[in-house]
Amino acid sequence: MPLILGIVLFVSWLSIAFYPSKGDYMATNTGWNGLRGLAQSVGPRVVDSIDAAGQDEKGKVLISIPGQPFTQQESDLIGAFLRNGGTLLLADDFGYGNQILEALDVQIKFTTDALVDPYLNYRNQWFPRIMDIAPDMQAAGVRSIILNHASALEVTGPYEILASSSDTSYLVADEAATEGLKGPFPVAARATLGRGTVIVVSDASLLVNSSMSLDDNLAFVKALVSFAGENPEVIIDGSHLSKTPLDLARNFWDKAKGLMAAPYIQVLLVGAILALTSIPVWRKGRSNGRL
Amino acid sequence: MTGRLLFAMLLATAAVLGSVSPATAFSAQDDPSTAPWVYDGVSVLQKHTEVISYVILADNAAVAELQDQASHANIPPALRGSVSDFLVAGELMATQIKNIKSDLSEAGRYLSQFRPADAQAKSESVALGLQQASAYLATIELASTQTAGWWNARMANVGSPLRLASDDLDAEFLRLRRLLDFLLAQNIALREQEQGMNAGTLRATELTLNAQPDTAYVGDDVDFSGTLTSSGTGLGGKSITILVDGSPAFTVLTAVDGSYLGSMAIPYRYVSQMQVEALYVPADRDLGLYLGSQSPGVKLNVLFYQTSLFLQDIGNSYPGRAASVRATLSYGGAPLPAERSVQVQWDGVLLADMKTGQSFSFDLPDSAVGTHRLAIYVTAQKRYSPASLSRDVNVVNAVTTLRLSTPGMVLLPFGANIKGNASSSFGPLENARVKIQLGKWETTALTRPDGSFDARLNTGFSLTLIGGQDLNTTVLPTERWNGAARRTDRMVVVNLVNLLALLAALAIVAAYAWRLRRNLARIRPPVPAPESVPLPVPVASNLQGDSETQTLGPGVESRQTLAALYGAVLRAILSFTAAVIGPSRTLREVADDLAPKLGPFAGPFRQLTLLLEKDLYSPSRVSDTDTAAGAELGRTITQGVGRANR
Repeated sequence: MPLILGIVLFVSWLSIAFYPSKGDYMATNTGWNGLRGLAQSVGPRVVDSIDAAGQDEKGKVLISIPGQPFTQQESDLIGAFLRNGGTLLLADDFGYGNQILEALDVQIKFTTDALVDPYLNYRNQWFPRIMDIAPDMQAAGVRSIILNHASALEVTGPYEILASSSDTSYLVADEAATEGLKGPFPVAARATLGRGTVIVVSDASLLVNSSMSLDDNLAFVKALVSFAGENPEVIIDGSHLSKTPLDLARNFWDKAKGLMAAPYIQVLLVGAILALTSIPVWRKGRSNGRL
Repeated sequence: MTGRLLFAMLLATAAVLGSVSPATAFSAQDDPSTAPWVYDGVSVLQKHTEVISYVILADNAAVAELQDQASHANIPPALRGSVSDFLVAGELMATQIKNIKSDLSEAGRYLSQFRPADAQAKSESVALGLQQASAYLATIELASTQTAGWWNARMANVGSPLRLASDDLDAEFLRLRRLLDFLLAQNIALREQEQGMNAGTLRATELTLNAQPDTAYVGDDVDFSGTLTSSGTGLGGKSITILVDGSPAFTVLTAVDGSYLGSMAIPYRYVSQMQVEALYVPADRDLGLYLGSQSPGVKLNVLFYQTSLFLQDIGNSYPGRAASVRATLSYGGAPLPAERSVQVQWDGVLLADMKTGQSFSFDLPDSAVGTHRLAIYVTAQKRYSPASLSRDVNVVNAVTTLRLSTPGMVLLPFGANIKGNASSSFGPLENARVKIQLGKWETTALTRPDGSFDARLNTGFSLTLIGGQDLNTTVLPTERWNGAARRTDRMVVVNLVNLLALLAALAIVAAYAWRLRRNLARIRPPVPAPESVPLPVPVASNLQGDSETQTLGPGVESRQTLAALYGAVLRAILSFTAAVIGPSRTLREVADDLAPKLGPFAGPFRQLTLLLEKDLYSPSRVSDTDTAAGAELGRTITQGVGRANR
């Protein structure tokens, strides 16, 4: 029984440490729903918590895919990040994006209904093709983008609309609905908040690997990121992503590794290893009695 | 059983680790590469209806936009051809209807001017256009029938969205056909009016026009003269309208002999030629008496001073960095004006409004990175033509060059000194923030006035042993015009603590292995052939314990008498009985294992084993009596076992 438990633990550890994540929006996920492509194109680093905002956040882009709610402290820190010149790229469809927009007092809302376009789309209506692109984005080489099970934006403030759906698009309350409020609807907008910028996109799937090769999605994402300036530092907020058990276990393992790398712990570990390897030497007398 | 349990547990672990996030009200996303192709007939037919609506409105530009849009639409491959035919024919038809409407309007105007010949020409053009439009309509109808047929739209349930879309399309086609019928009826009515005019008693008129001079500067006066006659007789008191490029410029009355004379300042339109015509349209008492007429056109050569605007090469502009732009005005060989009015716009917003001489300059506003539009307008001034110019100005950050001097290898937990220099095309970067990151360790530094910086990257403990790691260096300049720079260098990271610990562990293991081997060698001396195994013979001197070097038998030292004796006896037993002893057996286990083979000698062998255990483990020394007893036991066992196995 201890042997079986050992094998199971070892296989689990191998999976946690080396098996690529299959979770949505995971930076290590090379599958269609991961962010590996984004990681390779804009070189972001993933943070597991929003715990501090620096004095000068100019040149930094925080990409948030809010699959989990924000605490008041996190909202305050994001507000401070923006006040200090940072850029927030909020990509969401049916998550907790509205919570942070309300906290930041940005007059943009994600619709609770889904955006479909039965005419201008890729494969089917759940992949609307967006062709009404702002001149700034067109200058960056963006002619059209493809969304993936997106929502839309209700923009009531004086903000710049970066992209809108077509007049054949509409909003549906559920997946079986065949009609709803008619488009066009904004799907990407930019708001200036003090020294900072909030970019809101009504589809987080725009960032996943399988989206990067569709139409001008990659150029669009790069153009959004470049609002923070040339060579911006891109940070992905990993703390609000919906995680699979494997991702949670990997986070735990990463934290454990970090803990083990602490000086005192490491000294203890080294000592323990040396002690373990020396045990047979201490037991020499007994071993001598064996052939 | 164990295997099944292991498999079940591994399966359960994989299920837990591999499970995905919980679903939301809508699918958050789907794999585009495996998503099903779904073609929506309703939207395609609705777009067709929209196209027909624009055709009816003769809005060919709108149809062209829909054509472009359709190239990105999700349309079944089998229908791509017919949809394309529909849209191409639709755009041509919209253009045709636009021309027909224009020609009908022109023909109506000619008739109102009592110019039946001109009206007839237009009417014939309309008839030709209608024929062409009918051909386009046939193409459009065929294409839409194919499209609707692909979805069986006309056979769909009444009231269903597909059937409604199909019915709407049919209704729009009906409107289009009605429009063509209406246009045809209009043309027929015009033809009848023309014929009525030609067949009636209206008298034809002729109108001539002369212009003097035929070459003049804008604003200068030009005299016009001519005659209005009917069958060679001058018509007096008639109103003649002078048209300049088709637009009425002024009106004069003919004298009694039908002649007219007038003067007009050439409009301030800076074109090289203008077309001037005289037009007579019967009015009042002349209605029903004379036909209208238009003179042959007279070309007027127009002179003006051409203004040329030149802008210095702006190149790139930089945010936060003042940039002045200089422009000059040139007039060829013409006399220079005292001043000109100039307006400058930046992205459509007025930047400067000034009076200037031959050259002027202005500052570009501080703008964000991107492409901006600069436009300059020089207002027309009498004989001086206007001029305008626009340029795209790229506002960019200057590229920052980052040079680094790194040690190439970092020893953990010690740090590394990193030096470098940052500069751009504007010179060294002062007070730029340099962030250096190696794994989880990070340090920052500020650049000096010459752009150089020194940084100490303090590291710490880590689980790594040895390997390559990226050193990421980022420079964030304080000046807005300088861009951030980032570079990545590969460094070898050696963790001295872990490496030394590993070496120590290896050394301990090696030492242990060496010692174990040595001890084994002591217990098991070289084994001679069974036939030559000498029986142990106690030596008197050894029994007396006066010498540590005397031997009890060949190869056996006196201090290890019992151990050697036991070894020799054991080898003899093994050679005689061919027994095999398993690894890592204790002395007593060996005695137990050999007991069945030894028979009556099992007891003496156990006694010999106990004597050896006493020698090895007891804190008190073995007595000479014990040694002698051991020798006796050995002799008894070897002789007995030897006899029994011969």
